[in-house]
Amino acid sequence: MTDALEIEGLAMAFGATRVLTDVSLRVPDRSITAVLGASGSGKTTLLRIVAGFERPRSGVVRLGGRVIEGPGVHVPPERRGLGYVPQEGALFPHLTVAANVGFALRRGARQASRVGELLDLVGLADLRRRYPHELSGGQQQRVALARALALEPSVVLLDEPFSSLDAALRASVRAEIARVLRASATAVVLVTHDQQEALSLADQVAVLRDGRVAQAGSPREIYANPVDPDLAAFLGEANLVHANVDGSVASTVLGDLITDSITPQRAVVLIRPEQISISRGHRTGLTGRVVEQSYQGHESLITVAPDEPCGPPTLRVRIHGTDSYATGTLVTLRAEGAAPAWARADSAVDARQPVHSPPRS
Amino acid sequence: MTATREAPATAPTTARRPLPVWRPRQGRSAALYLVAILVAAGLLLPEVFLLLQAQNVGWSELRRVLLRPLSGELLANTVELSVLVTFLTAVIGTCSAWCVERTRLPGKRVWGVLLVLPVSIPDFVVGYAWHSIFPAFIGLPAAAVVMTLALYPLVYLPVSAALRRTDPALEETAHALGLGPFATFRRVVLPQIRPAVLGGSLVVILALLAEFGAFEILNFRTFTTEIFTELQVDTSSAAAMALLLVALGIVVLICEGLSAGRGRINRGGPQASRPPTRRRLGPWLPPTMLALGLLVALAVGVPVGTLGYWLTHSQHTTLPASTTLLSATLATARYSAAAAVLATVAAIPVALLAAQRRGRIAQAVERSTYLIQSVPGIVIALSLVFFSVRYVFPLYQSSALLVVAYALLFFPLALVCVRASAMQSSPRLAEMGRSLGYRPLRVFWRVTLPIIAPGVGAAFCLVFLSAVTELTATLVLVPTGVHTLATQFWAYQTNTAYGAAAPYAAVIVVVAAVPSMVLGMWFSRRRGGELTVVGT
Repeated sequence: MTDALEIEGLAMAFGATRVLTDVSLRVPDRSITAVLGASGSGKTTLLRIVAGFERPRSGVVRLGGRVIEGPGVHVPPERRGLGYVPQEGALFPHLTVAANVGFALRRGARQASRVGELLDLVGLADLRRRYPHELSGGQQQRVALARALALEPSVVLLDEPFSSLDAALRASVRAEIARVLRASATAVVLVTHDQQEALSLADQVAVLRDGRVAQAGSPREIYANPVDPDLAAFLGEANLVHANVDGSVASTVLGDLITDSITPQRAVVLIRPEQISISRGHRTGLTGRVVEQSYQGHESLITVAPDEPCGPPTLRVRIHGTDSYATGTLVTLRAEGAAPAWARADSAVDARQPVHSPPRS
Repeated sequence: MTATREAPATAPTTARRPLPVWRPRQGRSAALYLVAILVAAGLLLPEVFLLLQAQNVGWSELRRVLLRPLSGELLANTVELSVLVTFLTAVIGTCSAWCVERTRLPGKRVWGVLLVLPVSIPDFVVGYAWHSIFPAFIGLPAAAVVMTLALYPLVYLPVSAALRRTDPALEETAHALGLGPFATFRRVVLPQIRPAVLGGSLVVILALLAEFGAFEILNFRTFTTEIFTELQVDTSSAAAMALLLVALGIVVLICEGLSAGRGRINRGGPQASRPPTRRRLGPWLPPTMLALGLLVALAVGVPVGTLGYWLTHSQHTTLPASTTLLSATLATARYSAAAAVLATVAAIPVALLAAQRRGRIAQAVERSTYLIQSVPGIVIALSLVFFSVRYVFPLYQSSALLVVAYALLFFPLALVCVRASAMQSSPRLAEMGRSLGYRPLRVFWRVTLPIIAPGVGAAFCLVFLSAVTELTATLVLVPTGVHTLATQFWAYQTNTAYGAAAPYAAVIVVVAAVPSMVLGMWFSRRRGGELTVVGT
């Protein structure tokens, strides 16, 4: 199967500020790829290069096998046939919803019916005569998506499409857009800084860090098996616990875990908060005291200060929202399951150190 | 972009060598840059001609003219008047704008139109009105009063626009932090409208430097009136004073640049979504209404009333034949429309460049077009006369030259309007258009132009209006045998034939009032939630 979009060795700089160093990425047909990166990591620049608005210093971009950007080649944006949905939608303020969606289509009967189809697809058929400023943020996003899909592009690029929406709206718009994109059978590249969004929406997640793709893979794969501790912490709450590795068993004070990483004996393992079970009182396992409980409705995140040193000064444990542990409660923690392990470099073990590449400007 | 400065020192060692290919990085907008640079170059021509002429005149002659006692007297007159009028217009313009925009004043829209109306009454008509009522009212006091009444809308307009743009959340936050209404105005509102007040004041000073008609009528001598007089007798002395006048204008521009540079309001982020809160006036309502009423009575009532009086009370025989009036109106409208088209079309590329591109070239182009603001009409006329007489004689006394003079003179007005709209049209929208399959020129027609259309329309109106009311350059450049409204008015007025002059002034006011109303409405309309696109 050919890839819908192929990016190879892309490098970009603005003046002396390097934004992308060496980015390679393959986007399979009919799939959603999320490019995940901290703000300023060059995600938007990557999309703008693919769309043809910026020219890279070096590297090649292929669309359905055809080179659209490369040494001596620059297909102008209007001849790429990509769908592009910029941040905030960028709807044309002087045109109605219908005119925005039909902007790329030739005038005629065909246009009207296609616009109707697209508006049905995004569920906004009633709003065709409205102007952009009369729409909510989520509606603007959906119009922008319909407009990008008008010419049936093989690849659609979405730049932080949900960042301007409030949390309550975000989940529903996200689900709606995912449904539309899967129905339209195009490949999608979605850029975001929200790991939850990337993990829940994408078939493939590519983490952009320091101008490179640090890791690409399925959401499960990169969440469960990040390539390094920094990435582990970037993708979600991570407890990086000291371990002794022997064969496929990593022994920690929380219990033994299965690991397939080939590492020396002294190692750190990644234990996600949901892998740890917690119980009141003194039992077998690691005892400690509850320092903080962060209640989030459906679940709670408990911070525990362990009695024995195990690496990080505190551990995070995820529990059901129905349970509750008062601060100061004596608890016992146990961990199980599989965990990736890395050689212990004694400096890099602060579990909550965020992964930040230097900002672009 | 401060980080770029230290970056070379830490240049990464893994830097790839750029591929040896031709890279049309700016290529997609090369045409835009080219046209904008041409426009900028064209706008520098009056200064170039002036310098050429000064070189012709010679240094010793320049010195003789500039070191005369008369020059000192003129300079003193100019400075005194500028300080007085700038202060008065800033106070009156800001206060009246605040009353209209921020209080529960009854009849807000009516006040909005009435207060802007003086902008459409030429200064020389205001001067003529006052002088025909009080012939003894001359010199500095008269000039200060007349110019204040004629020019305060130049502060009122930008300040009221700025007041509408401010985010009410900022003021609410200030109140929540314990600041009273006065402290909130001083520490929160004033900093936000400061650029508007300064910008308006700058335009006021430049208008004062350029004013001719009102001062001539009120017998107040400035460089402009003196240049006009010398132009008939001694062109080299006129050129010397023109140089000084332009230098004064440039000093004003630099002062404004130094003080306003820091005051730029950050226009990123979501715009104010709610209209600002309005204060109850309570017991202050009657005095406020009275003050605004008095202002309108003096600034609009006096000139309009005087015109009405002369129109109805003059002897029938002194009224000009209606055919002359009609042909003068048509001539004026023709020249003004042509100039408005020329100036607006020239302003579009510069405005797009200034509003949407960063980089040294874009900045240099925009800055260089500022310079023309400091060149008064009389100097533009002088330089074009010199140029045509010396190099292209067929152009001398041609209609084209007058149209070019108007376009040069009022280009800054066109630029301000178009740029304001161009700011709303993010380059992202044009990119969107291209990614949807249109070539750059088609994107310009289908996306950029419709979005900046309000600004383009306002620019046309404003230039048209200004050209209709223009007197100084018209008197110098009008082709022999052609009569415009302004030249006819001036001819009668000079002979104190107030009654005969009145119809021409009346037509000028009426013709100019229409676009000014449109403009006022454009300024006061809240364009519902334009989409602000924030780039990353």
